[in-house]
Amino acid sequence: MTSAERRNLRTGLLFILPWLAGFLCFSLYPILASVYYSFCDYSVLSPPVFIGVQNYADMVGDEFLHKAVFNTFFIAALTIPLNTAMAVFLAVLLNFNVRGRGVFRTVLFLPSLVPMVCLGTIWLWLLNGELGLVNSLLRPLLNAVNDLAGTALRPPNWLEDPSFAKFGLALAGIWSIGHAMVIYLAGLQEAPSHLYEAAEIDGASFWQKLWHVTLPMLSPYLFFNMIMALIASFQIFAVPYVLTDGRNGPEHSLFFIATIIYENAFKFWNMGYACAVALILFLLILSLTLVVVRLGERKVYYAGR
Amino acid sequence: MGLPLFFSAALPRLRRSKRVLLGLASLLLLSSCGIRPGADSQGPVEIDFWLHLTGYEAQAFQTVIEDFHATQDRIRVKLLKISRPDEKIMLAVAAGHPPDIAYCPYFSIPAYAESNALMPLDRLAAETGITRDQFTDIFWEISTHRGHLWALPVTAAINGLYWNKKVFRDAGLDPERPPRSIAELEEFNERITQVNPDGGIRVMGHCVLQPDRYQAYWLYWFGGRILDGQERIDLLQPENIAAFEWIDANAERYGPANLIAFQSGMGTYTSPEHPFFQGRLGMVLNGMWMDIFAQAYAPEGFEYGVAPFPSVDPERLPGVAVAMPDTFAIPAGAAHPQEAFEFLAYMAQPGPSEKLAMAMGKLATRRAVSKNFLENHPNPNIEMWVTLAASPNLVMKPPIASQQELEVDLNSAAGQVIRQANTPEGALADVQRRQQAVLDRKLTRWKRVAAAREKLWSEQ
Repeated sequence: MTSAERRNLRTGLLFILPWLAGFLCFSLYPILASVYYSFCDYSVLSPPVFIGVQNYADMVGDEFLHKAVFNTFFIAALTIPLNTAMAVFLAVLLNFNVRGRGVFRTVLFLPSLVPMVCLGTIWLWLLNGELGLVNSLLRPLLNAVNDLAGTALRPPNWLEDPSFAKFGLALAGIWSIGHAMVIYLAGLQEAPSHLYEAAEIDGASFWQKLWHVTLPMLSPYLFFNMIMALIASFQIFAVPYVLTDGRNGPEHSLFFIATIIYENAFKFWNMGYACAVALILFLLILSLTLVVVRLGERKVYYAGR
Repeated sequence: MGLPLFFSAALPRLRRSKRVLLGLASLLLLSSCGIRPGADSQGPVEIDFWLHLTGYEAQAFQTVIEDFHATQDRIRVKLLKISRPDEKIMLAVAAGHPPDIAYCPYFSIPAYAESNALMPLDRLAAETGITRDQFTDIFWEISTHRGHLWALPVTAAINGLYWNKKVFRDAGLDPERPPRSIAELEEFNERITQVNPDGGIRVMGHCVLQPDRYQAYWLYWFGGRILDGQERIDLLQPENIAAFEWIDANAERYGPANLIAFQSGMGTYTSPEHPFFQGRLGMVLNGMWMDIFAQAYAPEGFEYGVAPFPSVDPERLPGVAVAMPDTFAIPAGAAHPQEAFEFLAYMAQPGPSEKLAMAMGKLATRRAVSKNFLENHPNPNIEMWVTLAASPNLVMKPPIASQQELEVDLNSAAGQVIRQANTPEGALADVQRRQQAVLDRKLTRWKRVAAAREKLWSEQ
């Protein structure tokens, strides 16, 4: 290395030093410390005591953790396809050249700017079984069905019924699709028009064009958003915590892995156990992401290749 | 191409100003470390006081702080209102930068104490002549753990039965006569409750789901207990099972969905829309703050009564209520513990304590209260509450480090019984199994450090 190269290297390192210091202090060190604490009994206010794999052994018998894992997988399986479909659908609609398109785009994007806590507070009342707006809209529909079919359907008590709580949460999550929608919109606008022209010449219908041109062109964006959605859904915490006032919902139906980490770390003084669960969550998300990436390699179409 | 040239050109200037930049960065870093400037030896000591209350309650404390300032000029109290004090105090102590005095939730005292998050107050209390016999027994008991005093109870609340007299009248019941046993409560409940043809509840006599944080503790009114000694959870006592069977019977009678729908429409009792104020709920268990909320939110001419909540056997178990003192502690590592205790002791004196209690509609924690307290208290039912506070059947939440986990689990179990997802005995057995394991882990942790802690505390 020449002295000029060494000088440039030093200069470069100096410029990234603030970020590097921040990364080491606030990311890498806490991650490594967390791994160590996962093998300790640590109450935060007392020094950690090494206990080997006891925390991991306790996880095997922790019924609440099993429930949290089930809930997390359930909500991920529910919200990822739902939100993806909604975001693509809205992006396709917003891609049409209609008057006021800018207004529609703004209006549909705005809910995703609502902070999570505010979103939870708003949906707490929207989903209220007796007084909520959702049931106020559902009730006349169900009454009409009851009159026609002789049934006795009632709107669900979303946040008090363990069978419906996660569906209520999924409904609330639809407000957050704005970011994905904007990315899909960008992808749609990148799709080469000659492909659509060629499809039209071949007599393709709207749905055929959607399936054979739009979705393949959108596949890199779908791939990216799915990975982001996977990571986000496995880390879900703020909205269900606010919806349930920290009480985890009926029969722990809104109790997720991130909640168990928070409660053990900051309410129950079991930081060691919380770190162990956090490490498992990290490995879970990493594994699922790798699976999705491997599957995506075959299915994603990159125009540049 | 241009960018590296720019950096090369900038390098000589960067070298010269590097020390300046480093110096500025160091200053920024040091200032963010929260190093407190040393106290001015000439001026008063400023102590930080963290309080969880807002509004008129916080104002009451501010008034007492001003009174304290008027009695001396060595100590100045700086009040800071915070939410979630149990979490914030833990983090502040862990960071080595706790307040000097803070509201410490009474149910967190065992966990805090065993984790060495609080300063034992035995020596300071003895030096200032503060003793157990000056306070109502149970409030002092709640403030102690493992044989040490950790906080002082300044004000307190207990809970009881509120009944809507108009609802009673409309149901053909004597509006001046509350139920005196659980059996009578259920009789009155039957008379008052009105159900729609689809099963929905229009008016309810008593809802077992209210208040929604108390479901786990109905077992107290059945003579049940949670602990057997200090180390064993014993939920499968017949009394506890009877309490959960009562919850189950309510769910069967009215239907879980109807009960839950009725409860979910209630909202908060700090509003005129609460069904108790609206005449849709005849009887409710609530804390004595309900009297103050009734004054603020109930409609004109609202008539209600207050009495001890009935137990399963009024002869054997008269006057059951849950004791909920407001306890204030000095976190471990506080910068000015001596001054903090001087203010804490001031707040716990009869005069300031009664002043705070009157402002908040609560009880003072001293054994005896003044005539002024009884005559001028804004709570119209203060005599009833003061009498109930002297009951031998006042109960406290289990004084164990895993109390929070236990409460969450018990409430969840009560919810399972309501939804008919588990039997009363099954639900209690599940909680006992889980929570005994949790308590065992806490006890293992405690036993590991017990000797060292005792030695440390005896020196403080």
